[in-house]
Amino acid sequence: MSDHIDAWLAAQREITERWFAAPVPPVVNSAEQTPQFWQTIIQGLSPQAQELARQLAELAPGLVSTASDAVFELFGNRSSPGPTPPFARWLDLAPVGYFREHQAHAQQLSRALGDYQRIAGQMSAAIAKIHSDALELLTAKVESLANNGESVTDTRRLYELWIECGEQAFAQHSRGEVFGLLQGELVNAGTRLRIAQQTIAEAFLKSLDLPTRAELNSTHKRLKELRERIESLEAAVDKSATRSKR
Amino acid sequence: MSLLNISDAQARSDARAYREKLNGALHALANAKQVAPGCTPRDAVYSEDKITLYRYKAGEAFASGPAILICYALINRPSMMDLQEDRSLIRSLLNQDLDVFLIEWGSPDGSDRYLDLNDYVNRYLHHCVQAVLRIRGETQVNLVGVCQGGTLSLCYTALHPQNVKNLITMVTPVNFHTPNDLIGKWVRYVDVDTLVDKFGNVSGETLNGVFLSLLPFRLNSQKYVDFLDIADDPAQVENFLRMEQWIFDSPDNPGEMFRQFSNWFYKENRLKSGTLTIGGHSVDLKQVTMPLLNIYATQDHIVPPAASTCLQELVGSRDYTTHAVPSGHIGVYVSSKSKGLPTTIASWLGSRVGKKKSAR
Repeated sequence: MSDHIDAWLAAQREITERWFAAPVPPVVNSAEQTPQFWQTIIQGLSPQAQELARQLAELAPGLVSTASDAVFELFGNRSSPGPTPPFARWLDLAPVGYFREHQAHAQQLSRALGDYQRIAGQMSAAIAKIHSDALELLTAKVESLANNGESVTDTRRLYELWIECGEQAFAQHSRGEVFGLLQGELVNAGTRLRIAQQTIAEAFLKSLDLPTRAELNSTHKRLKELRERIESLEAAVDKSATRSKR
Repeated sequence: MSLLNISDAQARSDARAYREKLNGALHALANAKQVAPGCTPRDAVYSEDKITLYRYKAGEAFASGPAILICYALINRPSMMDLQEDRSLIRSLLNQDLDVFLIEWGSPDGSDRYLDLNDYVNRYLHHCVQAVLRIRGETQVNLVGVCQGGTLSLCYTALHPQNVKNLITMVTPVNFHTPNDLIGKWVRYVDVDTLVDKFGNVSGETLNGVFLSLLPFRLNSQKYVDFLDIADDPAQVENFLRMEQWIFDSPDNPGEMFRQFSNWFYKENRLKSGTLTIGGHSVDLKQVTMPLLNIYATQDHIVPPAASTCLQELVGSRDYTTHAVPSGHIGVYVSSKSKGLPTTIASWLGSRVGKKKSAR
């Protein structure tokens, strides 16, 4: 029996190493090191069940390896280079099973984080472009001054010119549609990320029977509606009282 | 050809000088007194939820001249109007014998996220107007709207024209689609509905970030390098710190109010197009028939002059005056270039108190 467990463990290690494309230190090396939990199960089996387990153990490496290949094919090699981020296809899988909701939340968070990082990268590139344009403007300005015999002679003057050029470059970019669109997308991506984080936090708070933002919102909304109804009733009473006085 | 005429020795000397200045600035910050904007004594005369209506004192008593009610923006605190003794628009208005009332909107929290335009215009502002009228025993108020508070004041005046005798708007946006309005351009791409649905109130810190990003090089770098030059003067350090506190001590904006202001004003330009309704009532600027003084800043990067000056074409008032201050948005309150503003306001108001309104 222990030979089969050893073979099964070796197969698991091989699969894990394929996934990570690197040697993985084994958590359990042999049948003797299998957790007490499994040993208890195996030892308590009837001879027939032990025989079935033995036969299954013989099949296990092949079965697991084949199943793993299918998963491997679906998700792609983690370490493979290319534009598709690791586990990208996992994000497209419809969530199923007992942990369906948690899977859905985790997928939402991963997607939102990926989106935010992508757009933040574009914004960084836009800001880098503003800085490089500012330096080009500064070079032109310093050159023009030098040609007019007004060379920059101290660092403060140089700094003031850089600020001036920086604002000029920023104004050119920031008033354009592209920058506005990017800025808007970054805010919107940040909102989506916050929504995903909030969803997970709310689920956690609910599991501890702690109040959530959603509950408070409902309460505040009801209070506001109640106040407006009272005011409207008060106004109607006042109006009616005024009429009856006449 | 060498573009720069800075020798290695000069650069080293500059660096040494700045290191000394930096040391001096750090020393000044470590020894700076606690400062806070706001210097003129005042009494709280009305409060509701988180808002407070203040009445300022001229010495021991209240001024005996005409009353003005200042409606400030929900962004930043109105203490900018009373920053320090020698830079206080409120004090200068009191010196003109104007009885100054001012609304502080307070610090909205999560319980205020559903407060909307109707709450601010038809509830809080309306109740403050009623409080001033009660205190003064009058039937009409002289309303002064500042920045976003000017926009709210215009809405209020259009909805309740019978309550407003004279209207003064300062650096007030009316047209939100002018070419130089950077905030207007940016907000157009933001999904404000989702933002408010999920964030609730929009934090003051977020809004500060937006304002800083309008002039990023000047406001994030140059301002602090310039501070090194004044760090050896304790009075100037205090001024600087007072201003810093005012800039960054910004209240959160109630979510619904932010949603409506962003969508209805910035995105859809409803006030200008005449399609705005508040509390089920149409806001028609032609109802603004009382005398109107519109003050704008010629170098305003937050409310470009064109966003403000279009008001003349939209209101019903025949007694319309514009006054340009050669400053930026904040300079209107504190710049030396706006020193004459209190006199302008007082004399404009003085000549109209007691006059009957004239409609077109």
